[in-house]
Amino acid sequence: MQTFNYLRPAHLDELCQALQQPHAKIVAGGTDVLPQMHTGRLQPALLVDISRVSELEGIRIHNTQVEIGALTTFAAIQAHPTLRAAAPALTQAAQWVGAPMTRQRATLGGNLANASPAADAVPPLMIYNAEVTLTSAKGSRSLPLAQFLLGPGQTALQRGEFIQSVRFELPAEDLGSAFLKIGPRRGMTIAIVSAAAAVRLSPEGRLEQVRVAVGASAPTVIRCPQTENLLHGQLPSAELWQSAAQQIAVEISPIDDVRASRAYRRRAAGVLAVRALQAALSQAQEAAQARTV
Amino acid sequence: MTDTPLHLGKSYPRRDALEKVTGQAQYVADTDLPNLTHGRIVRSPHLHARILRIETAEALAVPGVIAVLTHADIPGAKIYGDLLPDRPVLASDKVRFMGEPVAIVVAKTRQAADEAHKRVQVTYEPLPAVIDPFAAAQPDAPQVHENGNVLSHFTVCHGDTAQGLAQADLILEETFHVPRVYPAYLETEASQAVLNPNGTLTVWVSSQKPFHDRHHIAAAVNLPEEQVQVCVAAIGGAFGGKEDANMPVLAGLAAYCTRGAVRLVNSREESMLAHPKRHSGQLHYRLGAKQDGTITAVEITTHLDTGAYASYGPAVGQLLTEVAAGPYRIPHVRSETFVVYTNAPIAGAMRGFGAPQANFAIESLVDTLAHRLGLDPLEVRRRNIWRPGDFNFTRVRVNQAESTSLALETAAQEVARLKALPASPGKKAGVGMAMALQTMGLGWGVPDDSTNRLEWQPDGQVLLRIGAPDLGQGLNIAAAQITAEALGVDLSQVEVAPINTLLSPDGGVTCASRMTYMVGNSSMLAAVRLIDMLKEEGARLLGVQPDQLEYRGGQLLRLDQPHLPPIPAAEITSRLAEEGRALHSTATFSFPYGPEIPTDLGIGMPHVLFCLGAQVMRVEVDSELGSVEVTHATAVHDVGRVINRAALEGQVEGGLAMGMGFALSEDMILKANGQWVDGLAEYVLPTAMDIPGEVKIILLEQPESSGPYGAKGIGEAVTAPTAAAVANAVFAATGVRVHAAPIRPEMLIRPA
Repeated sequence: MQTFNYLRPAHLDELCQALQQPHAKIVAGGTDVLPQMHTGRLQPALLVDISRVSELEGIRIHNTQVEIGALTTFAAIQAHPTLRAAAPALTQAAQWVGAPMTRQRATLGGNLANASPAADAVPPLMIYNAEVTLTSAKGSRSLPLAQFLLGPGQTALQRGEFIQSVRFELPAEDLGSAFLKIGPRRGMTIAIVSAAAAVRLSPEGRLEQVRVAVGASAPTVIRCPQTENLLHGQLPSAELWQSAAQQIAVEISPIDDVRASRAYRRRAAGVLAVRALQAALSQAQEAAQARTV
Repeated sequence: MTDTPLHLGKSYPRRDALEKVTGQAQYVADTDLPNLTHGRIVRSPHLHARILRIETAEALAVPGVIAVLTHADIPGAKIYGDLLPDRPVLASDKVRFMGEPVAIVVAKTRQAADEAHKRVQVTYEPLPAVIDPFAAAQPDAPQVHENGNVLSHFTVCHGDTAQGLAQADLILEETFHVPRVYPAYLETEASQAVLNPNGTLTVWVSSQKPFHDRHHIAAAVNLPEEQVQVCVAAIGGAFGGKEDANMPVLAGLAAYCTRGAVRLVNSREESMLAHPKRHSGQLHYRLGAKQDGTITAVEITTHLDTGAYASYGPAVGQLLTEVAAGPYRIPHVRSETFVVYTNAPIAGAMRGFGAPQANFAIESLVDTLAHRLGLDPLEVRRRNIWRPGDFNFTRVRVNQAESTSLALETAAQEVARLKALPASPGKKAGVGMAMALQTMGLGWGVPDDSTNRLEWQPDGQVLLRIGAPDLGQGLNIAAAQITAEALGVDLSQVEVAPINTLLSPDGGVTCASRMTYMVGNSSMLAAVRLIDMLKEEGARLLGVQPDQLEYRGGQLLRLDQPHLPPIPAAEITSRLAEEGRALHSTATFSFPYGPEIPTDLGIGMPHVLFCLGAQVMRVEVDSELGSVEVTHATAVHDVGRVINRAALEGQVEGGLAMGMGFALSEDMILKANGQWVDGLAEYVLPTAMDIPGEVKIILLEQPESSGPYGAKGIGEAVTAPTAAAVANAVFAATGVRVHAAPIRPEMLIRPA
């Protein structure tokens, strides 16, 4: 590892100031940055350690608005009771991040900034229609996740900007949601394919508010709008799920790599997305039953 | 010796356990030396290339750099090798694999060494490369060495396979592919050395064979072996991969040339690229059988990828040749193995030493045979397994052949139990099994001795000096238990000394499932001698005849005056110390070979002791995704006699986990970008989450008459059958027969 300068701001204003310097690289938990520095893939001239900027930490819920600070760890997300009850896909994704030690350090902001197509936190945030708040000395702006993530390792972050938080509306009780992932092993693994889905049931038993996001199957995590349209307003059936899986395979653009082939990803993405939809649906059904009781 | 053992079979914790889990154990990289400098190896970025020029000036200009060493700086032997000398200490005219050492930069700081190593300018002319052993064996393949790519070729014939195949009702012909497996020890290879003011060299190693290291280091720096002292630090795993002298030699060379203290520690990437792997390759089988499942003949042709240098490749090929027909009485066998040089990473010793590869093929094939004949795989095995008195096809009488049927029948009960479990929703469940066959010891014709020294110290403690290291498997605690048992003393009275070639006897290599057996035997011999010496010295000091003394439990009893209290050994040894003398004994145990060993096989080394067993796996396969979960595993192994139960169970669990990696996820492949998978993000090891929820261990204790208290080896037999048992379970679940490991989900489902 080569030499670099290091700054550890304690407050947001100090952070804004630190990021004025050229070639600054933000580090929080270090679970992505340090391995990249170790291999030499990343050689920052200045490392800005944000781990002491306490304004960036924590999960805040006002009425139905959720705001998760960039510095919040996956261990904290995993343990949060409100998220677990109302946004279970995010909890499930947090449980898949690395190993317990990784989750104690890895942060939500880091997972987004790293912009991996396989990032675990992104599919659930996409189905919850999350927005990212980016801040710099000039002020703040908000972007939908899909506009924030531009490609593998590429984001809309401008020079001097950092991720302050992620916001989304707490899903209504009757919106079921789920996250699923497969990797080359059962833990501490990079996704071969991941999927998150959300759905609610109309009083007639039709699918509504269908949302599907698939990971590790395109240059970024993507929503699958055509699949969502195909399912919207339909009564669930085996044939419907089959055509949804086929539609998913059309909407994604996976690659071959050491973990799996493109052909396998096409098939697995459809299977996994449908299973996520089914899990979300049974949750929605439980919510509906609880209401009628 | 009493009838009820004092220590045998007890689960004493290993003495280094606490310091290891609390991070206090001293590995090579933790052992600080005064004025320590740091080496960094410049490695080949090419699979195969001619070296045109090595320019060091720019690297030498980096502040803090002390030296840049190339082949020209080696004062002694520039080539070394364990079985044959084919490996340059540092490459001179050519590099033959990616990661091959070309130069060493030595600097005052690690950072300076890192920086300078990038500035050593090596001009290469890339050459065509070959990384497939079958292709490399063809005459028009790129030549890795001058004398052709086929390093070794073994053929063992027994009977007449043409006749045997003619008698068959069914002939199966199948080809199996096995992966390139990385040993993946926690501690990467490391070594450090210091040139002492008196011109001698001291080298710290993380190694399975300190005495061999000493030999190679001494040759490279041109010192007599007595002037090279090798000390074994704590070892963070080895599994065969640390039978490679590369780091000790390079550290010794660097210290010698710079007249200082130098540390070399490999990164994970360097470890993966440049240190020995399990041989990948392909195994082609033709197997004939009668309708009733009786196997009439088998012809086996194996091509092993041994990488760029021989390492232990020829010996791995020999062992594979011997075990390739499994634990079966087959009248006609032809087993032929080609060990082939390629430009892939070096393959060498790794836990199982050829047996896991052969096991995967033969045990998959026996299952296929059962399926094709409409028979139960257990029944086909029953019909063919060794029986007492049987000879294997190398004409060696199988020791305890009855263990084979005992293991099979024990496994059969487990198969029945696991088959009764219902599959989870959306999953297909299947149960499979495989027999385990592993040899023990180095094989006839290879010197295979273990020497131990026991010192009864004035304070009453007994110091045991072993000459081959505990790699983490628990050798030291097992040896201490056997010694304490033989002396009839408390375990706390026996200490095992760290290994240092100046003080320790030469114990050979920690390998080949031989340690408990060899060290146990030599400990027992040394203990008997020590007791005799204690009695002699006691008699002299007490002024009585030795036969008037009886030894019992660390004390001497006066038979002539039974009313006197017993005399503790410490009383004798402390009086000896006053005389300036010490009580110690040394004993050597040599691996026993009977006179009937066939020496004309053409492979040179038939093994005569076998570790037998069986493993049963239950899997659940996701019907749509093809992903495999091993839900239950049962390992049945004949260990002769349990010495330390906890250590033994640890060996079984670890070996099984290693076998699961071979079965389901591990393969070091060349990626589309021309780079090897060289990190643990892409090379997928099983973690605790992948290990079955139930691992049941059934230890059979059929005493080995030549073993210490009946014990024999276990370290490798536990890894050999796992992959085939998983593959057979996958077949039972899905009807898909895989011919290649690791089994990937996409092999088990139809593409979209």
